[in-house]
Amino acid sequence: MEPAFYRGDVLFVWNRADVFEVGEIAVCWFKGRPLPMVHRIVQRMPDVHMETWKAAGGNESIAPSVPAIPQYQYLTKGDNNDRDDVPLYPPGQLYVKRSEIIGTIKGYVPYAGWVTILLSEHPWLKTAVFGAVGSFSLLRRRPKTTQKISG
Amino acid sequence: MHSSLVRVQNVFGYFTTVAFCTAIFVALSVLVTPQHPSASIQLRNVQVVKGRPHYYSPKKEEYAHIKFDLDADLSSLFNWNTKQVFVWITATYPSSSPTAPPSQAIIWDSIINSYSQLHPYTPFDAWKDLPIVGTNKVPAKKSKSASKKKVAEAEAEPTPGLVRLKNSKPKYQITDVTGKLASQANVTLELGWNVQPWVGALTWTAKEGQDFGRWKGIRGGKSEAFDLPALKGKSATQETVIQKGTPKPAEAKPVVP
Repeated sequence: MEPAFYRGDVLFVWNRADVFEVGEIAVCWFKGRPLPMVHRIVQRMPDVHMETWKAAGGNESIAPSVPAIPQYQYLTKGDNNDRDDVPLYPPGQLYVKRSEIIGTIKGYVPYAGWVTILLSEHPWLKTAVFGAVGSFSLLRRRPKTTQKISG
Repeated sequence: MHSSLVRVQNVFGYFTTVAFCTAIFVALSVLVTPQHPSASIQLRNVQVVKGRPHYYSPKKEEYAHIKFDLDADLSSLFNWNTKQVFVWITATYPSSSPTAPPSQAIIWDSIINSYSQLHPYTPFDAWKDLPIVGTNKVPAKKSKSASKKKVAEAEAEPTPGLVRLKNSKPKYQITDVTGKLASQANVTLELGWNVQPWVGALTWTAKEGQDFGRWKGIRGGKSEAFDLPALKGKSATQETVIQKGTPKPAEAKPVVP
Protein backbone atom coordinates (compact mmCIF):
# COMPACT_ATOMS: atom_id res chain seq x y z
CA MET A 1 0.00 0.00 0.00
CA GLU A 2 2.87 2.35 -0.61
CA PRO A 3 3.08 5.31 -0.64
CA ALA A 4 0.36 5.31 2.02
CA PHE A 5 1.67 2.60 4.37
CA TYR A 6 5.18 1.29 4.63
CA ARG A 7 6.75 -1.65 6.38
CA GLY A 8 7.03 -0.80 10.06
CA ASP A 9 3.80 1.19 10.37
CA VAL A 10 1.39 0.02 13.07
CA LEU A 11 -2.16 -0.36 11.66
CA PHE A 12 -5.31 -0.33 13.76
CA VAL A 13 -7.77 -2.93 12.48
CA TRP A 14 -11.55 -3.17 13.12
CA ASN A 15 -13.31 -6.46 12.49
CA ARG A 16 -16.83 -5.96 13.78
CA ALA A 17 -18.54 -5.05 10.52
CA ASP A 18 -20.55 -7.71 8.68
CA VAL A 19 -20.29 -5.86 5.42
CA PHE A 20 -17.49 -3.70 4.01
CA GLU A 21 -17.72 -0.76 1.66
CA VAL A 22 -15.78 -0.36 -1.53
CA GLY A 23 -12.73 1.79 -0.79
CA GLU A 24 -12.01 0.36 2.64
CA ILE A 25 -8.56 -1.12 3.22
CA ALA A 26 -8.96 -4.78 4.10
CA VAL A 27 -6.50 -7.14 5.76
CA CYS A 28 -6.82 -10.49 3.98
CA TRP A 29 -5.28 -13.60 5.45
CA PHE A 30 -5.64 -16.76 3.41
CA LYS A 31 -5.30 -20.18 4.99
CA GLY A 32 -1.75 -21.43 4.96
CA ARG A 33 -0.14 -18.07 4.26
CA PRO A 34 2.45 -16.81 6.78
CA LEU A 35 1.42 -13.15 6.47
CA PRO A 36 -1.75 -11.22 5.66
CA MET A 37 -2.17 -8.86 2.74
CA VAL A 38 -3.26 -5.25 3.24
CA HIS A 39 -5.02 -3.94 0.12
CA ARG A 40 -8.00 -1.82 -0.83
CA ILE A 41 -11.41 -3.29 -1.69
CA VAL A 42 -12.17 -2.26 -5.27
CA GLN A 43 -15.19 -4.46 -6.00
CA ARG A 44 -18.06 -5.84 -3.97
CA MET A 45 -20.06 -8.60 -5.63
CA PRO A 46 -22.89 -10.71 -4.23
CA ASP A 47 -21.68 -14.02 -2.89
CA VAL A 48 -24.22 -16.54 -4.04
CA HIS A 49 -23.59 -20.20 -4.31
CA MET A 50 -22.45 -20.24 -7.91
CA GLU A 51 -23.22 -23.88 -8.64
CA THR A 52 -26.89 -23.84 -7.71
CA TRP A 53 -27.41 -20.48 -9.28
CA LYS A 54 -25.83 -21.34 -12.59
CA ALA A 55 -27.53 -24.70 -12.73
CA ALA A 56 -30.82 -22.91 -12.32
CA GLY A 57 -29.85 -20.68 -15.26
CA GLY A 58 -29.98 -17.69 -12.97
CA ASN A 59 -33.68 -18.33 -12.52
CA GLU A 60 -34.93 -16.19 -9.69
CA SER A 61 -37.58 -18.67 -8.54
CA ILE A 62 -34.91 -21.22 -7.70
CA ALA A 63 -32.44 -18.67 -6.34
CA PRO A 64 -31.35 -19.13 -2.74
CA SER A 65 -33.42 -17.28 -0.18
CA VAL A 66 -32.28 -13.78 0.68
CA PRO A 67 -30.37 -13.75 3.97
CA ALA A 68 -30.92 -10.86 6.39
CA ILE A 69 -27.32 -9.66 6.03
CA PRO A 70 -26.33 -9.38 2.36
CA GLN A 71 -23.54 -11.80 1.54
CA TYR A 72 -20.73 -10.27 -0.45
CA GLN A 73 -17.43 -11.30 -1.89
CA TYR A 74 -14.70 -8.75 -2.50
CA LEU A 75 -11.94 -8.02 -4.96
CA THR A 76 -8.85 -6.22 -3.66
CA LYS A 77 -6.08 -4.23 -5.32
CA GLY A 78 -3.05 -2.37 -4.09
CA ASP A 79 -3.35 1.39 -4.70
CA ASN A 80 -0.07 1.60 -6.54
CA ASN A 81 -0.47 -1.63 -8.53
CA ASP A 82 -1.66 -1.65 -12.11
CA ARG A 83 -3.67 -4.83 -11.75
CA ASP A 84 -5.91 -6.31 -9.13
CA ASP A 85 -4.90 -9.01 -6.68
CA VAL A 86 -6.23 -12.15 -8.37
CA PRO A 87 -2.66 -13.46 -9.06
CA LEU A 88 -2.00 -13.16 -5.31
CA TYR A 89 -5.06 -15.17 -4.27
CA PRO A 90 -4.95 -18.97 -3.87
CA PRO A 91 -5.11 -20.51 -7.35
CA GLY A 92 -8.60 -20.66 -8.81
CA GLN A 93 -9.99 -18.01 -6.49
CA LEU A 94 -11.30 -14.79 -8.04
CA TYR A 95 -12.73 -13.07 -4.96
CA VAL A 96 -12.12 -12.82 -1.24
CA LYS A 97 -14.82 -13.95 1.20
CA ARG A 98 -15.79 -12.11 4.37
CA SER A 99 -14.34 -14.92 6.47
CA GLU A 100 -10.91 -14.44 4.88
CA ILE A 101 -10.82 -10.75 5.81
CA ILE A 102 -9.70 -10.16 9.39
CA GLY A 103 -10.73 -6.51 9.45
CA THR A 104 -10.26 -3.11 7.86
CA ILE A 105 -7.78 -0.36 8.69
CA LYS A 106 -9.15 2.54 10.70
CA GLY A 107 -5.97 4.37 11.72
CA TYR A 108 -2.24 4.02 11.92
CA VAL A 109 0.98 5.16 13.56
CA PRO A 110 4.07 5.37 11.32
CA TYR A 111 7.42 3.74 12.18
CA ALA A 112 6.19 2.41 15.54
CA GLY A 113 6.57 -1.21 14.48
CA TRP A 114 10.26 -1.17 13.60
CA VAL A 115 11.44 -2.23 17.06
CA THR A 116 9.40 -5.43 16.88
CA ILE A 117 10.44 -6.12 13.28
CA LEU A 118 14.14 -5.67 14.01
CA LEU A 119 14.03 -7.88 17.06
CA SER A 120 12.14 -10.69 15.36
CA GLU A 121 14.16 -10.65 12.12
CA HIS A 122 17.56 -10.46 13.77
CA PRO A 123 17.57 -12.84 16.76
CA TRP A 124 21.14 -11.85 17.56
CA LEU A 125 19.79 -8.37 18.39
CA LYS A 126 17.69 -9.89 21.15
CA THR A 127 20.77 -11.57 22.60
CA ALA A 128 22.80 -8.38 22.26
CA VAL A 129 20.16 -6.21 24.00
CA PHE A 130 19.74 -8.78 26.75
CA GLY A 131 23.48 -9.00 27.19
CA ALA A 132 23.89 -5.23 27.27
CA VAL A 133 21.17 -4.77 29.89
CA GLY A 134 22.59 -7.61 31.96
CA SER A 135 26.17 -6.34 31.83
CA PHE A 136 25.09 -2.77 32.66
CA SER A 137 23.26 -3.95 35.73
CA LEU A 138 26.18 -6.11 36.86
CA LEU A 139 28.90 -3.54 36.21
CA ARG A 140 27.16 -0.45 37.57
CA ARG A 141 28.56 1.44 40.48
CA ARG A 142 26.92 0.67 43.76
CA PRO A 143 27.07 3.23 46.58
CA LYS A 144 29.46 2.14 49.30
CA THR A 145 27.87 1.48 52.64
CA THR A 146 29.98 2.79 55.52
CA GLN A 147 29.33 2.23 59.20
CA LYS A 148 30.02 5.05 61.57
CA ILE A 149 31.46 3.85 64.76
CA SER A 150 30.31 6.05 67.60
CA GLY A 151 31.62 5.63 70.85
CA MET B 1 22.15 8.43 39.86
CA HIS B 2 24.20 10.22 37.27
CA SER B 3 25.64 7.41 35.19
CA SER B 4 25.58 7.77 31.41
CA LEU B 5 23.16 4.89 31.05
CA VAL B 6 20.62 6.56 33.30
CA ARG B 7 20.98 9.81 31.40
CA VAL B 8 20.47 8.04 28.10
CA GLN B 9 17.45 6.25 29.49
CA ASN B 10 15.90 9.47 30.75
CA VAL B 11 16.46 11.29 27.47
CA PHE B 12 15.08 8.41 25.43
CA GLY B 13 12.05 8.07 27.68
CA TYR B 14 11.36 11.78 27.41
CA PHE B 15 11.74 11.61 23.64
CA THR B 16 9.20 8.83 23.25
CA THR B 17 6.72 10.58 25.53
CA VAL B 18 7.00 13.84 23.60
CA ALA B 19 6.79 12.05 20.24
CA PHE B 20 3.69 10.17 21.31
CA CYS B 21 1.96 13.28 22.68
CA THR B 22 2.80 15.24 19.52
CA ALA B 23 1.35 12.45 17.40
CA ILE B 24 -1.89 12.44 19.39
CA PHE B 25 -2.13 16.23 19.21
CA VAL B 26 -1.55 16.28 15.44
CA ALA B 27 -4.05 13.47 14.89
CA LEU B 28 -6.79 15.25 16.87
CA SER B 29 -6.04 18.77 15.66
CA VAL B 30 -7.38 18.05 12.15
CA LEU B 31 -10.92 18.34 13.50
CA VAL B 32 -10.36 22.09 13.77
CA THR B 33 -10.00 22.76 10.02
CA PRO B 34 -13.25 22.97 8.03
CA GLN B 35 -13.81 20.74 5.01
CA HIS B 36 -16.20 21.44 2.13
CA PRO B 37 -15.67 19.01 -0.74
CA SER B 38 -17.78 19.21 -3.88
CA ALA B 39 -17.91 17.27 -7.12
CA SER B 40 -20.00 16.62 -10.18
CA ILE B 41 -19.92 13.46 -12.26
CA GLN B 42 -21.58 13.03 -15.61
CA LEU B 43 -21.80 10.01 -17.82
CA ARG B 44 -20.38 10.48 -21.33
CA ASN B 45 -20.47 7.07 -22.98
CA VAL B 46 -21.17 3.49 -22.02
CA GLN B 47 -20.65 0.31 -24.04
CA VAL B 48 -21.36 -3.29 -23.17
CA VAL B 49 -18.96 -5.73 -24.81
CA LYS B 50 -18.43 -9.46 -24.58
CA GLY B 51 -14.81 -10.39 -24.17
CA ARG B 52 -12.09 -10.99 -21.63
CA PRO B 53 -11.84 -7.95 -19.34
CA HIS B 54 -8.89 -9.41 -17.41
CA TYR B 55 -5.93 -11.39 -18.67
CA TYR B 56 -6.83 -14.15 -16.22
CA SER B 57 -10.49 -14.42 -17.26
CA PRO B 58 -11.11 -18.11 -18.01
CA LYS B 59 -13.83 -17.40 -20.53
CA LYS B 60 -15.55 -14.56 -22.30
CA GLU B 61 -17.90 -12.48 -20.21
CA GLU B 62 -19.91 -9.31 -20.63
CA TYR B 63 -18.39 -6.14 -19.30
CA ALA B 64 -19.27 -2.46 -19.47
CA HIS B 65 -16.90 0.34 -20.41
CA ILE B 66 -18.07 3.63 -18.89
CA LYS B 67 -16.61 6.99 -19.90
CA PHE B 68 -17.34 9.99 -17.71
CA ASP B 69 -16.73 13.66 -16.89
CA LEU B 70 -15.48 14.51 -13.41
CA ASP B 71 -15.13 17.93 -11.85
CA ALA B 72 -14.14 17.75 -8.17
CA ASP B 73 -12.82 20.20 -5.60
CA LEU B 74 -11.20 18.23 -2.80
CA SER B 75 -8.63 20.86 -1.87
CA SER B 76 -10.21 21.45 1.57
CA LEU B 77 -9.38 17.84 2.48
CA PHE B 78 -5.68 18.74 2.53
CA ASN B 79 -4.46 19.95 5.93
CA TRP B 80 -1.16 19.69 7.77
CA ASN B 81 -1.81 16.06 8.64
CA THR B 82 -2.72 14.89 5.14
CA LYS B 83 -0.20 12.61 3.52
CA GLN B 84 -2.22 11.73 0.46
CA VAL B 85 -5.80 11.42 -0.71
CA PHE B 86 -6.93 8.38 -2.65
CA VAL B 87 -9.94 9.24 -4.79
CA TRP B 88 -12.11 6.88 -6.85
CA ILE B 89 -15.41 6.57 -8.72
CA THR B 90 -17.70 3.65 -7.88
CA ALA B 91 -20.35 2.28 -10.21
CA THR B 92 -23.29 0.69 -8.37
CA TYR B 93 -25.51 -1.57 -10.45
CA PRO B 94 -28.00 -4.36 -9.76
CA SER B 95 -26.81 -7.94 -10.09
CA SER B 96 -28.25 -10.45 -12.52
CA SER B 97 -30.38 -12.09 -9.86
CA PRO B 98 -33.07 -9.81 -8.39
CA THR B 99 -32.64 -11.41 -4.96
CA ALA B 100 -28.92 -10.64 -4.87
CA PRO B 101 -27.76 -7.29 -3.49
CA PRO B 102 -26.39 -4.70 -5.96
CA SER B 103 -22.81 -4.98 -7.16
CA GLN B 104 -20.26 -2.21 -6.74
CA ALA B 105 -17.02 -1.72 -8.62
CA ILE B 106 -14.46 1.04 -8.87
CA ILE B 107 -14.07 2.20 -12.46
CA TRP B 108 -11.40 4.85 -11.92
CA ASP B 109 -9.04 5.82 -9.10
CA SER B 110 -6.10 8.12 -8.49
CA ILE B 111 -3.55 8.92 -5.78
CA ILE B 112 -3.28 12.65 -5.00
CA ASN B 113 -0.04 13.38 -3.16
CA SER B 114 0.15 16.27 -0.72
CA TYR B 115 2.78 18.99 -0.89
CA SER B 116 4.48 17.70 2.27
CA GLN B 117 4.71 14.22 0.77
CA LEU B 118 6.37 15.42 -2.43
CA HIS B 119 8.68 17.87 -0.64
CA PRO B 120 9.62 16.20 2.63
CA TYR B 121 11.71 18.37 4.94
CA THR B 122 15.19 17.11 5.68
CA PRO B 123 17.66 18.77 8.06
CA PHE B 124 20.06 19.14 5.09
CA ASP B 125 17.77 21.73 3.51
CA ALA B 126 19.28 24.43 5.73
CA TRP B 127 22.83 23.42 4.87
CA LYS B 128 22.52 24.24 1.20
CA ASP B 129 23.11 27.96 1.78
CA LEU B 130 26.20 27.56 3.93
CA PRO B 131 29.68 28.10 2.45
CA ILE B 132 31.46 24.94 1.40
CA VAL B 133 34.02 24.03 4.07
CA GLY B 134 37.65 24.00 2.98
CA THR B 135 37.25 26.25 -0.03
CA ASN B 136 36.48 29.85 -0.70
CA LYS B 137 33.47 28.89 -2.70
CA VAL B 138 30.05 30.01 -1.66
CA PRO B 139 26.93 28.50 -3.19
CA ALA B 140 25.67 30.81 -5.91
CA LYS B 141 23.11 33.20 -4.57
CA LYS B 142 19.86 33.03 -6.43
CA SER B 143 19.41 36.19 -8.44
CA LYS B 144 16.32 38.23 -7.73
CA SER B 145 14.80 37.52 -11.10
CA ALA B 146 15.31 33.79 -10.72
CA SER B 147 13.71 33.77 -7.27
CA LYS B 148 10.80 35.81 -8.54
CA LYS B 149 10.32 33.28 -11.32
CA LYS B 150 10.32 30.48 -8.77
CA VAL B 151 7.68 32.24 -6.71
CA ALA B 152 5.56 32.70 -9.80
CA GLU B 153 5.99 29.02 -10.64
CA ALA B 154 5.00 27.96 -7.16
CA GLU B 155 1.89 30.07 -7.29
CA ALA B 156 1.00 28.65 -10.67
CA GLU B 157 1.20 25.12 -9.25
CA PRO B 158 -2.28 23.71 -9.15
CA THR B 159 -3.74 23.23 -5.68
CA PRO B 160 -3.79 19.54 -4.83
CA GLY B 161 -7.30 18.23 -4.79
CA LEU B 162 -8.73 19.86 -7.92
CA VAL B 163 -9.60 17.12 -10.37
CA ARG B 164 -10.96 17.87 -13.79
CA LEU B 165 -11.46 15.07 -16.29
CA LYS B 166 -13.31 15.33 -19.58
CA ASN B 167 -14.60 12.22 -21.32
CA SER B 168 -12.11 10.17 -19.40
CA LYS B 169 -11.61 6.49 -20.14
CA PRO B 170 -12.17 4.30 -17.13
CA LYS B 171 -9.29 2.35 -15.63
CA TYR B 172 -11.36 -0.72 -14.92
CA GLN B 173 -14.42 -2.35 -16.42
CA ILE B 174 -17.47 -3.57 -14.56
CA THR B 175 -18.61 -7.16 -14.75
CA ASP B 176 -21.14 -9.40 -13.08
CA VAL B 177 -20.35 -12.55 -11.09
CA THR B 178 -22.38 -14.68 -13.48
CA GLY B 179 -20.67 -13.25 -16.57
CA LYS B 180 -23.82 -11.62 -17.87
CA LEU B 181 -24.61 -8.03 -17.08
CA ALA B 182 -28.25 -7.39 -16.32
CA SER B 183 -29.52 -5.32 -19.22
CA GLN B 184 -31.47 -2.12 -18.55
CA ALA B 185 -29.66 -2.00 -15.23
CA ASN B 186 -29.97 1.09 -13.05
CA VAL B 187 -26.37 2.29 -12.75
CA THR B 188 -25.08 5.24 -10.72
CA LEU B 189 -21.57 6.67 -10.49
CA GLU B 190 -20.40 8.03 -7.15
CA LEU B 191 -17.23 9.76 -6.04
CA GLY B 192 -15.40 8.43 -2.98
CA TRP B 193 -12.17 9.32 -1.23
CA ASN B 194 -9.89 8.17 1.56
CA VAL B 195 -7.67 10.68 3.31
CA GLN B 196 -4.46 9.03 4.54
CA PRO B 197 -2.88 11.12 7.31
CA TRP B 198 0.69 11.33 8.48
CA VAL B 199 -0.51 9.95 11.81
CA GLY B 200 -3.92 9.07 13.18
CA ALA B 201 -7.30 8.01 11.88
CA LEU B 202 -8.10 7.45 8.22
CA THR B 203 -11.22 9.25 7.00
CA TRP B 204 -13.52 8.25 4.18
CA THR B 205 -16.20 9.80 2.02
CA ALA B 206 -18.64 12.04 3.83
CA LYS B 207 -21.93 11.63 1.99
CA GLU B 208 -24.21 14.57 1.26
CA GLY B 209 -25.74 15.77 4.51
CA GLN B 210 -23.34 13.75 6.70
CA ASP B 211 -21.74 16.70 8.48
CA PHE B 212 -19.28 16.12 11.31
CA GLY B 213 -18.63 19.37 13.14
CA ARG B 214 -16.68 21.58 10.74
CA TRP B 215 -16.44 18.84 8.15
CA LYS B 216 -19.29 19.13 5.68
CA GLY B 217 -20.53 16.26 3.57
CA ILE B 218 -19.79 16.32 -0.14
CA ARG B 219 -21.93 18.57 -2.32
CA GLY B 220 -22.88 16.60 -5.41
CA GLY B 221 -20.62 13.68 -6.21
CA LYS B 222 -23.34 11.41 -7.60
CA SER B 223 -24.30 11.06 -11.22
CA GLU B 224 -27.79 10.59 -12.59
CA ALA B 225 -28.90 6.98 -12.88
CA PHE B 226 -28.46 5.55 -16.36
CA ASP B 227 -29.19 2.29 -18.09
CA LEU B 228 -26.73 -0.10 -19.60
CA PRO B 229 -27.29 -0.55 -23.31
CA ALA B 230 -27.75 -4.01 -24.75
CA LEU B 231 -24.73 -6.04 -25.80
CA LYS B 232 -22.81 -4.36 -28.61
CA GLY B 233 -23.62 -6.15 -31.85
CA LYS B 234 -21.65 -6.19 -35.09
CA SER B 235 -23.48 -3.16 -36.44
CA ALA B 236 -22.45 -1.06 -33.41
CA THR B 237 -25.92 0.37 -33.10
CA GLN B 238 -26.46 -0.09 -29.40
CA GLU B 239 -24.51 2.49 -27.53
CA THR B 240 -25.46 5.22 -25.14
CA VAL B 241 -23.63 8.38 -26.12
CA ILE B 242 -24.10 11.47 -24.00
CA GLN B 243 -23.16 14.75 -25.61
CA LYS B 244 -22.03 17.34 -23.14
CA GLY B 245 -24.94 19.23 -21.65
CA THR B 246 -27.72 16.91 -22.78
CA PRO B 247 -27.96 13.83 -20.59
CA LYS B 248 -30.15 11.79 -22.95
CA PRO B 249 -29.22 8.50 -24.55
CA ALA B 250 -28.55 8.84 -28.27
CA GLU B 251 -29.70 6.32 -30.83
CA ALA B 252 -27.93 4.49 -33.65
CA LYS B 253 -24.87 6.73 -33.71
CA PRO B 254 -21.25 5.65 -33.64
CA VAL B 255 -19.08 6.92 -30.80
CA VAL B 256 -18.33 10.62 -31.15
CA PRO B 257 -15.27 11.60 -29.08
